[in-house]
Amino acid sequence: MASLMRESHPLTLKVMRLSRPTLADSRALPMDSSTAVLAQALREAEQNRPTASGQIFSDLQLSDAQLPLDAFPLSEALVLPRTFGTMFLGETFSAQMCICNESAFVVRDVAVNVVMQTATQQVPLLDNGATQLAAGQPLNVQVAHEIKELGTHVLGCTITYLSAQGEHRTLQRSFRFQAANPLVVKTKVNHLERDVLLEVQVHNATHATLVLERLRFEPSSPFAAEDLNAPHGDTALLWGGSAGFMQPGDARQYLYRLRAPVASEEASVEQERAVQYATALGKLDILWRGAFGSVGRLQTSQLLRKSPGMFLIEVDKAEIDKTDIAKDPSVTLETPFCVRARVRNVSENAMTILATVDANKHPLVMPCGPTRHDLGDLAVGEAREICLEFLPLAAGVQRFGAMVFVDSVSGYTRELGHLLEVFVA
Amino acid sequence: MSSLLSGIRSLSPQSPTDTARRALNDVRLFVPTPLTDALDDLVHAHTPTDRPTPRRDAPTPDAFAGRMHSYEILNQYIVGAQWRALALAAEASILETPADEERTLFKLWTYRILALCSLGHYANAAREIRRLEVATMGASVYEHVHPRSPTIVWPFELRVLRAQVAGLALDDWPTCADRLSSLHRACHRRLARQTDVELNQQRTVRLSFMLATCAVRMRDAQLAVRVMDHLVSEAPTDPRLTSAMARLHLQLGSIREAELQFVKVEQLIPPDDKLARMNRALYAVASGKWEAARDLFHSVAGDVPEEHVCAANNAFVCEVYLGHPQRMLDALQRLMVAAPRAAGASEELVFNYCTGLDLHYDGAKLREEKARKMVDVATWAGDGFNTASFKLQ
Repeated sequence: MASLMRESHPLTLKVMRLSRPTLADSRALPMDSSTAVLAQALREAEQNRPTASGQIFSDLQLSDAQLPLDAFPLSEALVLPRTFGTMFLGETFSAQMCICNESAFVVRDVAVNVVMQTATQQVPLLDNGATQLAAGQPLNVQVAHEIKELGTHVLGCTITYLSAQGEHRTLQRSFRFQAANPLVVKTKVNHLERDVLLEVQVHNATHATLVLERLRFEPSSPFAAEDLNAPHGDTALLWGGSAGFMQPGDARQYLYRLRAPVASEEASVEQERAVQYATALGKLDILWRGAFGSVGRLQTSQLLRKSPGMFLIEVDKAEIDKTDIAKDPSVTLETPFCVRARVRNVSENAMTILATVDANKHPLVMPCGPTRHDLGDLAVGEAREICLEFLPLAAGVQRFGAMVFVDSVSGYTRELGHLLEVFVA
Repeated sequence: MSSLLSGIRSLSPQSPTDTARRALNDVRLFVPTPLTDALDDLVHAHTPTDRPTPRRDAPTPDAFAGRMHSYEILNQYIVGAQWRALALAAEASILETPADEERTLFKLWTYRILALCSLGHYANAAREIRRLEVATMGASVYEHVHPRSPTIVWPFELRVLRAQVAGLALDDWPTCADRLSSLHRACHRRLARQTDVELNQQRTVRLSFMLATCAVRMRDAQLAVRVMDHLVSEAPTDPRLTSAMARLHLQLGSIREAELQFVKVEQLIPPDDKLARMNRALYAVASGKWEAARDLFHSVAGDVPEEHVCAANNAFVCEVYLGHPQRMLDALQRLMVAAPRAAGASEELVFNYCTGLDLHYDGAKLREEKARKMVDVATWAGDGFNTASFKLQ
């Protein structure tokens, strides 16, 4: 009954998704070329079925003796897509639409309007001007739309025309499909002093093999990104050969170091705040390919971190006072050494700072000089350097330099767990 | 059956307790062959009764029973894709061959299994192979287990079919890969002993390709590429092998790697060689450059597209992506008429053509066009034509 009530139209509308064609599977059953009695017959049969054969032809007269190609799994013939397949976020949906006049009369003023409707928006794809279709004549148009949302998409087609009886009529059809997520991206943020180590895991959530062609991290200010995945910048190990293949369910992990600008005396408090309070790390840009090169591209939203924030009194530089520190950052057991620490007032008011070394917190590296240092008045953004002496009493990697900073003006106190770690040889 | 006998199972050839070796010409080794043809059935179902349908062979067992059929006759059936006739003729010949002529019997069994596989009766082929295994227990099917086996040796082709049937019948591609690997190792051992060097080199190449097929079916792209890499490393100057490698990369989506391989091929052959043009055309398809791909395919097909059916088909497929599906339909139809066996009875071309029909027509008109195409195909196609190519829902 529903079909009887449906309007009949002289026009038909068909839509075909234009995913990539693929090479047909070779269906020849290969046999020995020389000794088998049926080998010659099979070769003749293969010549009658070139689209089912795995043979590859050249104008050069190359012998098959060394290289029988009859068992190669792919033929040279392209086959159109067998099914609609699955649509994924980041791919481009393109379709061939055919409007055909199946009546015996001319249909005039045929106008086609196509939109893509998602949960959040309606995107116009095509608005063809009026044309005329003779009996049996088709009108072919193509539409394309980049899939940027997950979930239900509806391709809505509206065709208006003037029938043979002079009546204005409308044919409406809609085609619904789902857009799924091809890749699941998880990140983990680790802090390394001022820098950030960003771990990225990418998981193939489809049922097909993907080829990951590019994964790039685009950092946000003030960070600069260092790719730790390609040793010496050799990306062939990451993406070349079979390395780029991701089977269904495979996961890959990547590591980036996001470097914050080095703290300097010239840097203002505002610049330092911009670094310490920065939450946006950057975005990942991923490019992959499916069968026969179909492209997909995704960019994540801003990856965020919980900002470490700032104390009102910062030690923005602390280093062991040693001429060859770059070559040999260790100190000698039971030999005193000096540490230069730069203390900065990063609050919004002037401070009078008193710094005290806690002698009990790290007993294996004892302070052996003055433990109280009066830094005096520090204006906003101003820094002062102090020299602290320590005596290492145990070998190995040791933390030391627990300190307390007190502003006698406001009463603000900052406790520092340790200044540095050092290797005691 | 009497209730007294219920629950009692008689020994079958598959029973593990049945250790008696049957003769290779034992009638109990055969599984009844279905003699219907899907294409025949389809043509009769969709063609109006007042229209003539093409006459196709409908072999019956009686026409073949009781006599030997020569290899020439059997080979003619292969060339004509008369797989039902081949299956029946091979069966009849096996039954007429003395049991002690084991070499002849194995050759005939190769024809038989080939026919069943070509008809798509993979389950029947698997059952008959299993019965043959039991019948020749201890023979050199499992050569890696019994390297110094008794005199019965399965022909290489039959062992290959046995491996492939595991995948085709049961979708058990890991078992297929295991069996092919076993054969590969056996061929390598012979090569190491310098036995039949050229033959065993060819066999290792074929087996490697078949292993790559298993890997593709198992969706293990990395394994497929590794197998091909190994092959290419042994013949780096053969442009066809490098092209094969590149095309596999294209199919799997690894476009950059495909490009690198295609560049290597271009260094081995003249730039206007049809292999170079075909490679460039396929690369253009993968890059979405449809006009360039179409023109390159046309340059390969030239003025005689019926002699280059694949290139011609590919050029016409590009027309769909260029927004001209009607051109594809018209051109494919002309090609199928010009080369009725190579093109008109090609499952791939029929599929592409029917996809074009689905896009262009609807309802009764679509059914009519497809029925017309079925009649055309039935005039030239042999047995076992995959009727899914007509895309009848």
